[in-house]
Amino acid sequence: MTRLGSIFLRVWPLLTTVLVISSPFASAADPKGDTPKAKLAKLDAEAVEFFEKKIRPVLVTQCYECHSAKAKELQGGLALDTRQATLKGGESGPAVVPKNIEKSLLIKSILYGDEFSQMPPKGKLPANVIADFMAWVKIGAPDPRDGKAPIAKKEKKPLDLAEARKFWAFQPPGEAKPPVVKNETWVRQPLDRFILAALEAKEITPTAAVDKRTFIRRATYDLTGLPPTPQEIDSFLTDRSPKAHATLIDRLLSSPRYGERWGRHWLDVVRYADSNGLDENLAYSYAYRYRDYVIESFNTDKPYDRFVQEQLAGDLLGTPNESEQARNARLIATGFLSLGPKMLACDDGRKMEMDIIDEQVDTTSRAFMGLTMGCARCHDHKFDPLPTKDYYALAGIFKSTKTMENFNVVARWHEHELVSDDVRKKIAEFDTRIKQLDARLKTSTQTAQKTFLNVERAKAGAYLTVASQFVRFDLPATLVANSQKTLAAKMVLGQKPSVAGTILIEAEKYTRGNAKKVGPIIQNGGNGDFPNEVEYDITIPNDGSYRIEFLYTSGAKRPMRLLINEQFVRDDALTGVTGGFANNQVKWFADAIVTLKKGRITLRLEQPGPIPHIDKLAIIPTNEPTTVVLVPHPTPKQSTKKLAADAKLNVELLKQWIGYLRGVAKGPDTIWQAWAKSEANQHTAQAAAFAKRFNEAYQAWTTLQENDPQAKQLADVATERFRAVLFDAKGPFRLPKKPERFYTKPNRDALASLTKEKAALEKQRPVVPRAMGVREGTITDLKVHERGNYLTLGEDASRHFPIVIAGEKQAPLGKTTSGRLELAKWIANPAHPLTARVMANRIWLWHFGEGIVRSPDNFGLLGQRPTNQPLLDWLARKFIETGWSVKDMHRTIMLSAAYRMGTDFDANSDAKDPENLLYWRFRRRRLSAEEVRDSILAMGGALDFKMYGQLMPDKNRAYVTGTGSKQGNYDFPRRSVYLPILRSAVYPMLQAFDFPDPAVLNGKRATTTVAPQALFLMNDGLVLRETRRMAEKMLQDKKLDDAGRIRTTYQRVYGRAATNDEVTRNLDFIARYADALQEEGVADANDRRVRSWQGLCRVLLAANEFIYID
Amino acid sequence: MTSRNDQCNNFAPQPLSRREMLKQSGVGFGSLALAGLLGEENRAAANPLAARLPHFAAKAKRVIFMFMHGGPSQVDTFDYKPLLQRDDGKPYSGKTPRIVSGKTGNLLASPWKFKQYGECGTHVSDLFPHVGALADDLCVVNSIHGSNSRHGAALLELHTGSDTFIRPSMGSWITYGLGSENQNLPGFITICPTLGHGGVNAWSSVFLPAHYQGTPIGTSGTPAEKARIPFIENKQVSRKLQRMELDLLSEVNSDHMARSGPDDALESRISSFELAFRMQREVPGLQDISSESKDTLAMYGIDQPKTKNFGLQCLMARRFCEAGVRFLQVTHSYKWDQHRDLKKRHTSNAMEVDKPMAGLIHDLKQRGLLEDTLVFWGGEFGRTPVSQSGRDGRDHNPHACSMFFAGGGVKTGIRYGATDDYGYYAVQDKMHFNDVHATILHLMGMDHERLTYKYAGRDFRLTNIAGRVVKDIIA
Repeated sequence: MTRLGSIFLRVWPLLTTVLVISSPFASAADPKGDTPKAKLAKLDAEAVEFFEKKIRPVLVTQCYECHSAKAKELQGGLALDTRQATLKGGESGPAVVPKNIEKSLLIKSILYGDEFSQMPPKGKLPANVIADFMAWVKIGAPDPRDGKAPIAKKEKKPLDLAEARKFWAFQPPGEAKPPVVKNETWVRQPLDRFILAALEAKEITPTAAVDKRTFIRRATYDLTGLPPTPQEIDSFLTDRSPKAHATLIDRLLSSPRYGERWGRHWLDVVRYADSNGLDENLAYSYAYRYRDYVIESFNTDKPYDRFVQEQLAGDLLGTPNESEQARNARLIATGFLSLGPKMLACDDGRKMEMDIIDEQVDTTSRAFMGLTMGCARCHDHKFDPLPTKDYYALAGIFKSTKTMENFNVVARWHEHELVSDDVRKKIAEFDTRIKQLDARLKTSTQTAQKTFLNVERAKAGAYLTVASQFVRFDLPATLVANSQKTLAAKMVLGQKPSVAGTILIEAEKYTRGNAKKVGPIIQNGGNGDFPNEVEYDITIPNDGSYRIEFLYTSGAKRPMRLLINEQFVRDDALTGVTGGFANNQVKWFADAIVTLKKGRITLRLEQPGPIPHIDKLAIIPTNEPTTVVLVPHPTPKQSTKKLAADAKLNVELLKQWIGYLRGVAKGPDTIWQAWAKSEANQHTAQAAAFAKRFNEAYQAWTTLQENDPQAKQLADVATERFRAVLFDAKGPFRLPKKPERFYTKPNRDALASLTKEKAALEKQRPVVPRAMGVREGTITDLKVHERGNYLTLGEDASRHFPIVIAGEKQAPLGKTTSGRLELAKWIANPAHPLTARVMANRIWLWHFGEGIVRSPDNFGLLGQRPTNQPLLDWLARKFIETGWSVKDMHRTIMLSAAYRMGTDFDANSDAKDPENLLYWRFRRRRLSAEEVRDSILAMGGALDFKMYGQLMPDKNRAYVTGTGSKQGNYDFPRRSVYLPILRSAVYPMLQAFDFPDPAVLNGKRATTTVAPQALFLMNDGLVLRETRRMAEKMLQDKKLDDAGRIRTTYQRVYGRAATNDEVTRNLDFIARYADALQEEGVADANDRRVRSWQGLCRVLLAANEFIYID
Repeated sequence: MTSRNDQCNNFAPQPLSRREMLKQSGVGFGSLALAGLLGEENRAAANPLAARLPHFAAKAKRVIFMFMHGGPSQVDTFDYKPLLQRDDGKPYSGKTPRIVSGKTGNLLASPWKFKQYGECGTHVSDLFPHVGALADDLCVVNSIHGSNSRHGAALLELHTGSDTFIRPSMGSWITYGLGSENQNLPGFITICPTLGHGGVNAWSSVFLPAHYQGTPIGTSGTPAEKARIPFIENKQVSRKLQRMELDLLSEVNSDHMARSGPDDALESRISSFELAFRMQREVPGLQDISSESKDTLAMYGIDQPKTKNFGLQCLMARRFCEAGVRFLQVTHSYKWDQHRDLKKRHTSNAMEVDKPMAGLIHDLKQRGLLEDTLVFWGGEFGRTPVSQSGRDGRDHNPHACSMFFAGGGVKTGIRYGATDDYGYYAVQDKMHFNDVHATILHLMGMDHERLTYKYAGRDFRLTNIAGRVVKDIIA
């Protein structure tokens, strides 16, 4: 029965009452012919009363806050304060359909049946109220609240595309002609005219140009993220040619350090990281290939349009004769779409998928187009002309793309295999050879096993003789073995036994024995090689029947022999399994009900192998019948190991024999019945007969196999039974664990050499390099997800591009491709109004600290307007015209007068343009986190310029953070761009210096000044170590005196000469510092000297002059 | 500095000098804050951590969140369900959630007994006798719910209001809204937080300015007594030598300033070293509990091995809170996830935190701090009333969990909201995590709809597009 149905039943009595009292308006509810007024007139007074008493008050108190004309914000377009409004309903449809419970959404909501429309949201209404509402609907929802037509629900305003396209960002960049300016001499590049014209219009004079020393520091940090060396400064200063600046910039652009710095800018935009972050934080071990691809792309000045296309659709850009390297690069590039933050553990796989797609839509549209598409996931963009339909049209493209292998908990992302056909062939060859080796290994192994087992099979009789001593064959099958239905279990631990006369014994208080006492329990006395044995002398008060129960824990079956007065009780006592050996897992098990005589007994437990952890034993008087009779039984008080050695048997096989016999002893197995019936003292004699039968079976089988390798069994039924014991894969001669140790030496050697050969081959087998990335998936169109929820689907949103830019008439993307390639080409098209502008603005921003559009990731209505649109448009067009060359953009910008301006403050300019929107001066900037770290390493002389690769030690998909885990290791002398970036656990040093949260796209880093930065420079191990290195190196230079050392240091750290005052002050500091160290008890003069220089270095590196660039 | 454009329009810091603000706000500033502020009076740049006025009169000035990572079981702690006790072992007849995290069995009665405590008679299980004894000071909410059944996502939902997007954490929002009362200390401190299940995201400022990032003291992998703020220790350079270095640094920087002209950023960087130096002195002092009496240590359970670690965390929380830290979180990390071993592990977990938490609340009360300090307790979700692992475990359950609140202007001695008969779903007076956030902000004098920050084209809030201030639990 449906849930609705069951509730319906419950309210039935009430419903009938209502139906009876309101029967008069069965006709009134008939809509035909009646005007509302007429209907109202017919309203039965009682029905109205029912509404007034039961329904209206609830509507007023529970619903009107959000669903009335007076609501602060009408929710879901639904008003419930008039009859007409209620019947018309809101966005989801009519709230009430008279007489139709199933179709009345109001009822559905108050029933809380649908998890996304539960009303009121605060909590479910009481059952009787819900019943009232259902009754009310059932009788036709009488409602006297006549009102005008439903108040206007917020109608979707149709998107006025023509109007929307008037917005500057959707217009193609205009052909901006560099304007004429008054001060022509200032102009170095056409772009300067745009800057100067804007300044001149406000009567602002650009700040004077910087000297060459400042310029080289600015440009070197700007392009490489590192300080210039004193030699580089010298050669620039002495270069008197008019092209000195251009030469410098060309040198810097050709340095591999350039890609490391500018690649990092891009990595900010694409929220690069080496782990998914968020929940189960797994290593993206191959993400680094994407990072390296970015660095290389910048170094080789890959045209930006190509760069964009590769990242979105590299997998689809193959050309017939491309190099392997080129192919790999474009596959790696698609890591852009894959390496975003992901919730990898979500029970709702569809939500996970839509969240991943959302992240792709958002990052793609903001990174390349400055469009905040993400806003349109749940509703039409509130400010930009981006309807939800456009969002799901784009989302459809990514839905049709394979990013993930699955959406399990924990989900797996897709990876490309970066293998050429040649290598693939090579791998296949290796695999064939490995397969062949495997076959040989298998044959050799089988031979070795067979040889070993056959030798032992010949001794079947001896195994039987020894093993049978451990087994009691006469136990009745009716014995309740190891029952958990115990009497003792009813006791509360620590309290007195509930059955009077119970004898409760602590296991560790044994009379004799060798088991190890550990706290309240006993456990193995050794490693199982000798018998564990314990004996308890117990006084039995009365003749009678007694239960014998034990309290223990055991992670596995560990049977023990239980004897009373040297009489055998059972050989498989204490076989209960409790799931582990933890103290809190103890359980009582009953093993036997025996008849005991009054007086002293000795209870013995023994076992040649490991035993459970035994806490207590209980002997409980009972009226139940005896389950087992005590019989004399000569069990050997020796370990299986010793017995096996004496009889030249394999100890593991002997144990298997014991276990096997215990199993068959109780069963109906025919060959063992005879054995079981014979007295124990006849077993030796019987064993000879059995051995003979085993040998016959073995021989017959060998012969048969020679003649008929396909034979499955012997024809003679009796002999076949014995053969089956010998060869049964689960029988006593099954292969024991780690059988290698029992192989003959030649067999072992042969195997070892094969194994070695295989290992060598595997080592030579080329490793398949992998890269995160995407490829085409199942082509699907999405429907609009109302409120972002995949359970509330709306209209179709076939894959297309945002119509405000791409227009309403778009060629359909087809059923065979996701549309990713088309998307990539559309974005990277020179005609796209945003792509070139957005990147030109980014480049400008990364040079000047602020963009012409100050919200680099948002060119929409809520973003900032360009402060100088002609300049931006000119740059964008220039960018396209020069083949999307980023390096050309650098040259254009850095050779301008604008870039050469000083940072000096000017009160007049500041008053006119306090935010420096028009670029009247250059913006002083603090070093980025990476620059701080790299510069300190460079100063210590330790910076390693090795490029590329992975420093994260974690295996792919391994957990990189978790509760209790420590921060990772970042102690590498490599450039910071190569440090692992773990989402949810970014290296604290980077974090302190405003490294952006790698979970979100970031086109402009914040610059904060917070105390942890100072603490880092004062205290961190890296700073302490590198300044020590600096100091030591300085002091090693014997050609210099201390003043000379200070001068050299200033050249290196600040790129300038120290003043005499500075030299004096620093010398004084060193002297005082050394004195203070002496006072603190530092005896070693050399140590004092190094440490005082170290102190000075720390100060110089912490100073603003080092950390800021003019 | 962030540019003016990035600041939200609705909550722009008042353009007052801090001295003026201090006068206007009247009460509420500790003497430490006063000293800190006056000492920095010459700083030109507006201090992003300066204490700010709330939207309206606040009941709470600071928050301590005791986070139980893993998901404590509501039906075994604060949500007494007699019918669950009655129907132990029977199949669950209600509706199972559409999305579940694992397989479950029949109804499992709580292995613990519930007692009624105090005048109010609130039911608390035997797991929390010390906290139970404070029932008259507590507001127990049984109708908390979230939406995600996995730790990572639920943890983010609890801390940031979203399990879908990356959002600033509640501590960051609160510090962004109100600043800090002590300029020598971070405004938001998280003691021994977990690096798992979202890690830094639980104390991250994400797109809010970095000042509002939580400062971790140690991580869950560190014993509380060894937990330190990053970079705070220097074993090589004595305080005296460091002072000499900073004095020289100040001279070097002054010379540089003289050459470069007025610059807010340069200036504030100079003072950041002085702040760091003071912080270096103040923080270890606050972490040094040697001045605390034996009785106090015993009250927090620091004298017992089982309760020592969490006791230390709680005591540190009180000390930081006294010193003016705005938002403090103490984490009892990833211990509460009892898919199995419910009896043993919940017992052991509760034992580790019960006394320290009660000690903290009691201590705050006796020091008069509880009035304007909001203390709250909870995990990322509750657990199912149906069993797992035989009959000794429960699965994740985001549809019902319990939290308790104390101090900071909440009603005391009440139990608010309710779950269904078995405690599977919150049904009455439901309180989503977004509502918890809205209510906390309200208690701190902030309108959750007005505390916004503009990013990526729109105004963001802690409560996303939801959130209801639950006035019923406000005194």
